[in-house]
Amino acid sequence: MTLWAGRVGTGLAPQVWAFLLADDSEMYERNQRGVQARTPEWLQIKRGMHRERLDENGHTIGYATDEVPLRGIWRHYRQLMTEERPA
Amino acid sequence: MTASTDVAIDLRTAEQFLYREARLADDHDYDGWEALWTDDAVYWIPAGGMSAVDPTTQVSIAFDNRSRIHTRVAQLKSGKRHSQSPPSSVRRLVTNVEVMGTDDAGDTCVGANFLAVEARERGTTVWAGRAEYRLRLVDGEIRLAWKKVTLVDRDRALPTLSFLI
Repeated sequence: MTLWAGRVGTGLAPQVWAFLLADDSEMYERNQRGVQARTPEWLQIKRGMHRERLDENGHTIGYATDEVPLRGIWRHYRQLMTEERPA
Repeated sequence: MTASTDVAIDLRTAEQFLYREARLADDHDYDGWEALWTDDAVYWIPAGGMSAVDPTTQVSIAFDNRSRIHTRVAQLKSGKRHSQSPPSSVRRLVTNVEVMGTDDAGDTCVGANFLAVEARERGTTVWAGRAEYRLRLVDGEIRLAWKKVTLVDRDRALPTLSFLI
């Protein structure tokens, strides 16, 4: 009998589905507790900032575990919210 | 399924096995717990509100064959599963134990209710449900061929379930 499928998983290979679910939801639960703490009010997303750089094409480069994408999202948000718009 | 009077494993013996399995899980004795399973074992925790008859098409919290049971245990033992770092403090009651009969493979079918209290940093969580087992005598030892854990709240949003239930 082949046993497969039917697991709640992440975007990873099917072989590891269900094993990561508990660790994933644990992470969400801890994040939620952290947000509810309200102190400090700021979320730090500076992991890997010391090694963030631009490549020759102007793309921001970081390591796989760095928070480059998060910083990118918020930089872009700030740009959209502050740039001058045509009247 | 034949009448329960024909079963290979009697109620008292089955109960002792269920209690041992529960204790090994509560104690995070991962090697001892894993050693209970047969080579063709299935460990299944359905999710969702449906009758959960087909884990190949319906979502499960866990649906492990023997290889996956081993991997699950190996991950818990690695210390790198942060959902069990530190491990939950768990104690469970296994009650209403009944020998239900014998399945087609000759395994003894046993049913029970359970109540588990889990304490960890997020707080205390109560887990309850139906546990169904298929037990088999292998070289004179009882082994666990199949276990299905049907949580009472499986159709609701559940907190992280990361210990062996």
